[in-house]
Amino acid sequence: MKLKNIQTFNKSFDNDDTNRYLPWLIACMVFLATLAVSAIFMVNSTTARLSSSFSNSITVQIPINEISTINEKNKKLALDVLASYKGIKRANLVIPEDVSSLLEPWLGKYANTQNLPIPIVIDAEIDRNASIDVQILTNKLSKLIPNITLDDHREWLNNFYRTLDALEVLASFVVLLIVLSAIVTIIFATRTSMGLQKDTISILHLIGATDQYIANQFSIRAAWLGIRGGIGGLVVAIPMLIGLEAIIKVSEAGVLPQLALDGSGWIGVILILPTVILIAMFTAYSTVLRTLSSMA
Amino acid sequence: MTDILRFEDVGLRYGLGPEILQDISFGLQEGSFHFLMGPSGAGKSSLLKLMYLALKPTRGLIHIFGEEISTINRKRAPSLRRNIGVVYQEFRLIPHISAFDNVALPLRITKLKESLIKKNVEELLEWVGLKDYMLSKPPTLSGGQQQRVAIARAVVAKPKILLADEPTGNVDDEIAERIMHLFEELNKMGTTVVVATHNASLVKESNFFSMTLSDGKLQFSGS
Repeated sequence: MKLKNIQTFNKSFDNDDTNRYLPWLIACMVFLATLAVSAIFMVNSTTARLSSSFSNSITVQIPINEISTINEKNKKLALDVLASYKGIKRANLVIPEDVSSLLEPWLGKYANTQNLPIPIVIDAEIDRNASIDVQILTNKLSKLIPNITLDDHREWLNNFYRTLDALEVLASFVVLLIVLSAIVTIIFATRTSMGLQKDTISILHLIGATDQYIANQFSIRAAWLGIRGGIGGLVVAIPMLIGLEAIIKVSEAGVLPQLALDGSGWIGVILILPTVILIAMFTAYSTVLRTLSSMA
Repeated sequence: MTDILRFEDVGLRYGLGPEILQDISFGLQEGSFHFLMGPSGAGKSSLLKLMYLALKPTRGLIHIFGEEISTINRKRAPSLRRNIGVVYQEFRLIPHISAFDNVALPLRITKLKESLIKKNVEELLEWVGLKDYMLSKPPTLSGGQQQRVAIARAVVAKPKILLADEPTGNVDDEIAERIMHLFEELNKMGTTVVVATHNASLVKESNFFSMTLSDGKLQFSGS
């Protein structure tokens, strides 16, 4: 199938009802595919963001009942132990204002956190290439501050990753279903069109047109219908995605990681249109060739 | 001279019906002009269908351009058909495209340049008196005008064989004369022409060979 053939495209097959209905079907499929593909990219970028922000840190908590018993010296010693521990790049006390902002999504902006029993939190950044034995470090710190706890977020992250993976598999499955539906729809539309255009096909054969020429005409027509439907679907889906991002941005308030399409996500969305056109062209082309050869 | 088209003991029946063409044997020399005569229902259209490869014989051999058609596969047939121009009795124009596009079809399938297609098609449509109807669609044209579009489509690619089924059936005498003149001109340029007609006066006025189909059998008479 060559682009040159578009030049010789004639309107021999331009008069049946599939021309009217197919773009609408394609538009719906492109709309759904855009949402599903966006979901895949959003989940991917969220996973990457979470992975880089959480897997390189551990959180140390000094429980409330120990706060009254420990003195500033032990607190300083605990910070020193952490900072000097092999594989830890830095360790800082999380100031009360930051703790309050972390609680804001649950307690609200105007909650008075001053009087709440909040543990002391130390945030430590781990060297990306180092491996830390949390148990050894906990034992070491427990000698200075009893009941101290260390959280490397692994359990929480693993659960979250599993959820994100499930979402990604689901979205991929939806994309696969949409592609299969598009192929089946185009096959049936092409066959219906061929039935309606039986006389035209016969005339073209009698004047010496090859099966490939006739298949090209159908595939070019399917491409135009794909372009029309695809643009229609994207025109509805893209503003919806932008709106969705804006709503999530306003409402998330720190509870969820930011859900937004990055550069590769937008490229993925834009690539849906050429993909749909190619699927339409090749499906129509092979359907016509198969049908014509079975008529021989 | 070699036979461009040769039938050897050809028979044709539709399904399990009676044999409507029996023991047809003849050869058409390159550059010859033949009339195919016979009453309605004699099988003229069926004989033409065998000539333009729309049907295969139930028995016998047909050689076209030196190739026996039972040995021709699906891929080879289009290139042979491009050398056969056909004027169908029922015109067989594509109704939703213009007269220009209908005539341009045989050139477009050969991927000729659009500028050349435009030049050739416009010249031909002007010659058959349809200059002002180039953009008209067939259903808006009269029977005679549709027939002239069909003739223009059959000859536009300068075929080696031209088969015409009742080409003057729907046109007035003046246009019929012009059509016959066009066929004669094409014949002078080397095109083999077969005109199926029941118009005996058309045959009498010419000096060409005629074949008559009667009861499924073919008889020859020369001029």
